Formats: sequence, structure tokens, C-alpha cells
Amino acid sequence: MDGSVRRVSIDVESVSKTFGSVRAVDDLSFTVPDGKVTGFLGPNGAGKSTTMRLMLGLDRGQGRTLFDGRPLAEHAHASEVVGTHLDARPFLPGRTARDHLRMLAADSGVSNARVDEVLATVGLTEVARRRPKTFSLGMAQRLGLAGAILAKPRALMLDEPANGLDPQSIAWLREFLRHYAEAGNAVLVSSHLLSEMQQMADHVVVIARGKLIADGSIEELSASSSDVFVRSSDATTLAAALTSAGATAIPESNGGLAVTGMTTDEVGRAAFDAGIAVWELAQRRASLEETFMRLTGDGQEFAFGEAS
Amino acid sequence: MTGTLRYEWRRISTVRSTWLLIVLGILVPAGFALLVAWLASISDGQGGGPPNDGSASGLAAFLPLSAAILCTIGAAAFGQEYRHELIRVTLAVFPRRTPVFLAKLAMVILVIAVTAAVAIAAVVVAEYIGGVIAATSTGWNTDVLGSTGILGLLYVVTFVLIAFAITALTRNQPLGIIAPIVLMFLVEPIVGLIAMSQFWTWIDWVLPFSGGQAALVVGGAEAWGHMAVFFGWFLVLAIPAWILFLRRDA
Repeated sequence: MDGSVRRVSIDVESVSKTFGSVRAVDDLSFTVPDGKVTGFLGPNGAGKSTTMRLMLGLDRGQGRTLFDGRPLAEHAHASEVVGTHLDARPFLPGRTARDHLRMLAADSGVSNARVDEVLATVGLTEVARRRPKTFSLGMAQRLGLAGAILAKPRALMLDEPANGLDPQSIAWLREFLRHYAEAGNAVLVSSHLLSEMQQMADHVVVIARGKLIADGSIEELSASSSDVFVRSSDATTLAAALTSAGATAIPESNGGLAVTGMTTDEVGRAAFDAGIAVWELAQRRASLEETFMRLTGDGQEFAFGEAS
Repeated sequence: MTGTLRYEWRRISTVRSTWLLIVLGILVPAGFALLVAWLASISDGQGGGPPNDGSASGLAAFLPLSAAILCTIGAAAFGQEYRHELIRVTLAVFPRRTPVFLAKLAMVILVIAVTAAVAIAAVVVAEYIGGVIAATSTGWNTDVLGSTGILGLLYVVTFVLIAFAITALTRNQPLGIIAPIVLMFLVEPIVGLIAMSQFWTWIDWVLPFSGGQAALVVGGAEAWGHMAVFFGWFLVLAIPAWILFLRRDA
């Protein structure tokens, strides 16, 4: 941190939603800072889409979400505050792509030239005057994204925008969102593609069963799941030495130890003091996927059975 | 509110089916008026069809066809949005829901009122031409320039608004289109027959579509009373629809 106070773009404050007896979103609070891509992660049924709809006031629930300090409904032109893409095919099949965007442009006085510019940005110029009923899922996602960025909003909220995109399009989306955030905007993206999110997001919010599980930078989350691997001449004695020094040492099947609560330097020093030869010593950083699995292990709403 | 109105205009005007329905809503009643005149001419005036003199009862015969066609436009105001999940896009752009509801209402009223006015004029022209063909013409009937025309216009607009309100209430576009048509052409005539056998003369003051058609036939102050009842049914449906629209998840 540089000590300066960042302007907070989106504040989610204690949002909750109940469907019958199911608490879909449970007192959820987090911040989507501007200038960063925030990944919104959670297993199927965790409540990500419901949370996004609650944030926008589309679903009725408890709590509130402030966009630059005010509820969305209090802004004169909501489309200039936040651009959204929540559903895979949010358009009328019989209305041309260009007319769909012209309709969305009605609020903020966006010109037809801007509509054409956005269509070019997402690579849909050639099909601008076609009806999107024949669009592939990838093309539909591009049109949805075009609608979201049309009024140059200060924040973007995208629900699974990479679904149906080919690898080139995903790479393009990643670059686009990073540039959008770097321009000082807030970007919230939900996704199941964790490897993609690891490359795209600076900050992640993880939920499971409607509750906040983690909220921090990718590095912080990875660090919380990282450990030190040590293989030595006497694992039992080294484990006892590390435990007495306050660390946790768990034996692994390859004869090594997984140590948490100590740095590599500290583990090396403890082994040296105990007179144990070290064959291998390394910091192991967990991937986002491993961290996600650890955090949400029992939070999956509809879990699979044992793989045979 | 300007933005929501502009949005609604673009929503309604950028779909081909809107224009097709408008053309049909004008041509179908006019075409039937001509057809009736032609049938009258070949039967030497012995036919028992509706009068083709541009009178209120003539409008009563042909305008329901226009209303039944145009009610799809009313139902689509909300139905199209829920059917294709566009309502979330709309409410993300316009988070204040009452202006969205009012803009939809205003645009439906505007489009249908203009279309109905043209349809009434087309029916009058068709009846005049039909009268000339059948050699029964008594010249241009100017009744439609007065209360008859206004009642005809109100009838079509209210009919379509009932479709609008049913769809807004149920979020079901097919129901919004079918329910008014089934009520008008099937349910109410059956109820009317039963009522007639029981001498329930008040029944036209209760049934919406029968009352609406009665407004085009009876004339005088009673016509306005029937029209008020017809419009009252729209309000009965629209007010809970508006309240639910404010409270429901999109």
C-alpha cells in the first residue's frame, strides 16, 4: 500500500437473500476496489449470481450496495456507473445486434458512432445488422460485453463472461478487462475458470453457501495455502523439532514433511540445530485452484459422489 | 423519464413484428368492413351483417379485430422482457422501477392510440367505399369525429392495456395475449347467454369486454359509463401488477 486512500468503487454491505427456507446469500460484505480486476469465486450454487443481482437491485433482499457511496438507483445515469453482463443471451433474438445496443444507449445519450465503435471492439461489426438468434454462445457473450461497456461505465460486473469463448477470445477478454481496470475502473468477474482467474484477477472474493470465505489478493490467498516442503535424513526427529518450535509438520508419503508456520530459512535453521541433514527444502505456493478447493471443500451446494 | 421513454420507443420500434402487427391492426378491420359491404352488395342488401355506415355499431363490429391483433404489442411490453430475460438488462440500466413501468405504459398508449386512430379512419374509408360498391352509401359519416371515434379509440387502447396488465401481473406473454381474446370471444358470450336467460341485465356493467363493446353501441352517457367500467378493469389488473413489479425479483 502506498498510504493513499483509494476511492472505493463498489461497497457491498451485509447483503442477504432467502429463497423459502434456503439462505442463498448470508450477510455478505466485501469491497470491489477500482483499478483492479476482482474475481468472484465460489462453487456451483454458492450464490454468486444471486449476489450480483442483489448488488444491482435486480433481486430484492436485505443489505445494500453502494456505487461510489450511493445506491445505484440514486445515480442519474446508472449505465455510466456500472455496466453489466449477467445472462448468456440477454437480447431479443429478432432485434439486430446494432439495434440492441442502440436501445441500451437510450439512457446515456450514447451516439450511434459509439455503438459502432463498441461493436468493432468486440469484433461483431460484420454481424451488426444480423439478428442474434443465430449467434453462437461466444458471439452472444461478446454482444453482452458490448452492452456492458457501451456507456463507458466506471465499473463492470460480469457473470461468467468467458463461458463459450474460444482460447483466443478468452485471452482477448483477459487483456481487455485488465486494461479496463488499469484505467481506474472497478471490474467484478465471476468465473469457474480458476486458472483463467489466476491470470486475470488481482483480488478475489470467495463465497460458499452464500457466505464469505475469503477476500484478498491472489498472493495473500495463495500464501495462506502455501507451505514448506522438507526432506531430510531423519523426518521423525525433525518433525519433533519443528513442532516444539511452534510449526506444524505433517509427514508426506515421499518421506518429506509439509511444514506450515515457518519460512524455509527457519526450517533450515531448525534442521541444522537438530543435526539433521537436509536433502530437499522448498517453498510450495498453492495455485488458486488448490486454494479454492481448500477454502470451499465442504461448501459445494451440489457435490459429486466419489469418482470411481 | 426521457431516457426510459426513448428506451421503450427503441425497444418497441426495432422489432419487425411491431410494425407487422400495426399494419394488420389497421388493414384487417378495414378489410372486413369492405368484405361485409361486398357481401351486402351481392345479397342485394338482404344480408344481416353489421352496418357499414361508419356508425358506432359498425366500429363495434370491426374494432375488436384490431384490438385482438394489437394486444400482442401490449403483452410484449413486459412479456418480451421476461421471456428473453431482458428485464435484468433493462433494470440494470434503469434501476428505478416506477419510471420503467410508466414508460412502458405511456409508449403502449401512444403507439396503440395512433394505430387505433388510423384503424378507425381506415374502417370509415372502407365502409364508404363499401357503401359505394353496394350502392347503399349515405355519404361520409362524420360521427367518428365526435364521441364515437373517441370511444372507439379508447376501446382499442383499453383492450391492449388489459393485455399489458395481465402480462405484467403474470409475467406470461402468451397468457396476456390469449386471455383477453378468449374472454371476449368465448367466455363472456357464454356468460352473457346465461345472464340473458336469467334476466341479469346488469351483466354488461360487470364484464369487461362486453362492457367495452357496449360502449361502442349504446351511445350517450351510458356509453361512457361502460367505457369507465372497461377501463376500471385495466386499473384492477394494473395496480397490483405495478406493486408486484416494484417488489419482485427481476
